[in-house]
Amino acid sequence: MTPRSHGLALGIVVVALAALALGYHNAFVLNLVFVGLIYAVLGQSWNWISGYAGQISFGHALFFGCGAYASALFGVHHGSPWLALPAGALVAAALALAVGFPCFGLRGHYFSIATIAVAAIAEIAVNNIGALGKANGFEMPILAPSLASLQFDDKGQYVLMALVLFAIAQIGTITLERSRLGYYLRAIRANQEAAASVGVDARAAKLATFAAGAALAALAGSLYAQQTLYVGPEDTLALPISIAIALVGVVGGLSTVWGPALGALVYVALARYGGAVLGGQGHGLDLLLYGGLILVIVSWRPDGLAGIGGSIRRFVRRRSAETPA
Amino acid sequence: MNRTLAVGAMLAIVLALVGGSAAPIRGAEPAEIVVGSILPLTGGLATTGQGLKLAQELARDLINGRQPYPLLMAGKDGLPNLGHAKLKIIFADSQGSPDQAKTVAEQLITQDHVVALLGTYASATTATASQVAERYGIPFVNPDSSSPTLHTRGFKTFFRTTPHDATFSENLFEFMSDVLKKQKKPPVHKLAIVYENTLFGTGAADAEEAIAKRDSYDVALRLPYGANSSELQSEVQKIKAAGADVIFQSSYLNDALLFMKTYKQQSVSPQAIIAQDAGFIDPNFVKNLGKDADYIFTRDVFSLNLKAKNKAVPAINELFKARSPGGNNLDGNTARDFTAVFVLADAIDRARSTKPEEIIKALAATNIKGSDTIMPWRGIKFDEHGQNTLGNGLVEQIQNGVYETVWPFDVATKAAIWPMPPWDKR
Repeated sequence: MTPRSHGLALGIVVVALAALALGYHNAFVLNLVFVGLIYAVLGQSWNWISGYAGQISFGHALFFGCGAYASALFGVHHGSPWLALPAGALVAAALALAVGFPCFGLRGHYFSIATIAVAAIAEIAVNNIGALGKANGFEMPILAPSLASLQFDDKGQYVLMALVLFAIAQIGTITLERSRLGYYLRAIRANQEAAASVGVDARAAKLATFAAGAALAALAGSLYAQQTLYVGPEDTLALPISIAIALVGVVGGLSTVWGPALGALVYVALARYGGAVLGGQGHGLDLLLYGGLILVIVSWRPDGLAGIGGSIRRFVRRRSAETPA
Repeated sequence: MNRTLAVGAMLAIVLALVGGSAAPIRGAEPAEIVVGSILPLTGGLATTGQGLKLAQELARDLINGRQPYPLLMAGKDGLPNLGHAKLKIIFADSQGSPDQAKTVAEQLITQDHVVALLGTYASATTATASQVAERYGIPFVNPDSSSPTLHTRGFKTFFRTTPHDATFSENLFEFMSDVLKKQKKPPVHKLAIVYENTLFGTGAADAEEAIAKRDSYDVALRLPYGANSSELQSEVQKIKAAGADVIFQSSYLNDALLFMKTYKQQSVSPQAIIAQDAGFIDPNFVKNLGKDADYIFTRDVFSLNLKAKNKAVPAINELFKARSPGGNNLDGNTARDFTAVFVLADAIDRARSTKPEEIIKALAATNIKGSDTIMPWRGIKFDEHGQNTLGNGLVEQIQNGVYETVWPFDVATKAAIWPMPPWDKR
């Protein structure tokens, strides 16, 4: 797809979801859309470092948590939630640089292991630091709904906020694909030595990508906290959250513009909507369905859902090439 | 044709007026009263959540049935003040996740139009689900979350029937001084607080430390540890070195077992080990340790082994056991969830209405005697924060492998054995 058609697709999605947010006042559905958008952004931020740069992160919850905790702390101490957004993003980016700098010199799986370790350390630290609410987490005060307090009566407004962030993430990815950095990353992923030999600074490229993705994940964490109004270590920093983020990226398709969004759609439809509708029976049917789908995708289409579109296009092209004119 | 219609209409109006004056709410009587229940039905807490669902279903069936029990609202064929309308519970799965709990709360309120919510066991999910209920003005009855902050949020729709962690910890200290006074033993001074370092243990330890400081005990050691530790030698050495009279301990099962084995190995013998339920009331605790489990004190919220205030307890337990796939007895969690359904049904019945604001008013006016429930509580009566003020915990001691209730004294089955004998003299 060209940047132009990506832009067109994004425009359609944004307009459709904005119309839904403004016109359809079903809180349950809007809540699902909100969670879906947050995971689409998280999946995209993961896709930058793990898809385009090929460095698999299993600790992305750390950055999500940075944003969520920034919002919780600003909320509890009566700071403006708008200041929490850049604060969380900065802390996340700084942490990404601190984790990435020593690791990106190494090859292989060291980076993945380091991301798990650092996220685990952060979770344990938060569990034991009084100022960070320990294991109890924070319940944020409910404020008068307004744009200034970033709290709304209507779910639609949360969806609009998430939609803005989603658009930023998508435009960022479309730009990245065409940018010098994007080509560097693909070169590094294909062969780091060869890339370095033609003057690509692999470490700088990966660090920049990782820090930008971390900041993006933190912004998603902040919005999530503003909507949920409860932030605890188990729900923002724990390994299952990191895995959910990575799954969204893998199911949707690595290094594609629309993969994370597709992954998030499946995640919300099966794990969340399925959970709400089927979970009451208590047989874990929804989780079985989601697990089964992951198995099918991983074994049948390792390039994810976005890869299916590519195959269809190739198939059509091949057929038309075979057909005599 | 027109004439018949007019007569019919007039007759209908007259009937409506007569019916209306005889019983003002007749016309509004629903056949079914729908409440929602949010529980962790899948995920890490699923085993507990499934048990809670069974307990709530049993309560619902007793309320809707005709078999009388000495329980408030049981066997009246539904809600008598609402024309014997039947109680219906729609269950939803929180997956143990705060934002999923919020999502399903929205769904129950806006899609299923429930008149009240029950749930949700884990404190974090109760925090978010009850926010939703507060925003929609739907009453929220919480049977089983023990975080002390839940009722202090200024909500008008939140009612918690269970005592919370601060009360439970308070009970443990009351028990300690009561027993020492009763048995004419010298008071203790030096305490050690040992706890697993996540939500449960940290909350309990904070509450214990606050009470210890207020009552001027000497907290010689405050020791957090990870519940999945594979060995605890150095932790136990620290505890031994602190030389506390009493160890206050909050542990899950595996770490509790490991601690007990290491205490024995290093012959750590304080006067008493007082535990916050969890691992210490797990059926596998005694199974694994045998005689070494003896003399441990633990808090609990319910016990089958107590001088029962309510004669229905054994019969209800048999009903529950028959429904439970594992043949489980009622325990502290299931008994509390069972009871909360009655509290809610009683309020809706007294409200004589399914309007949420009327149910909230009725809940606020709740006044149930302890003997009308299966709980060992003095009763159920909410303060202005919606916290039940008449609830209390129990203290049990393992004696010969059996959990005997030792406090409060009026429901006790055995006297407390204090101090525990040293390991080499057992």
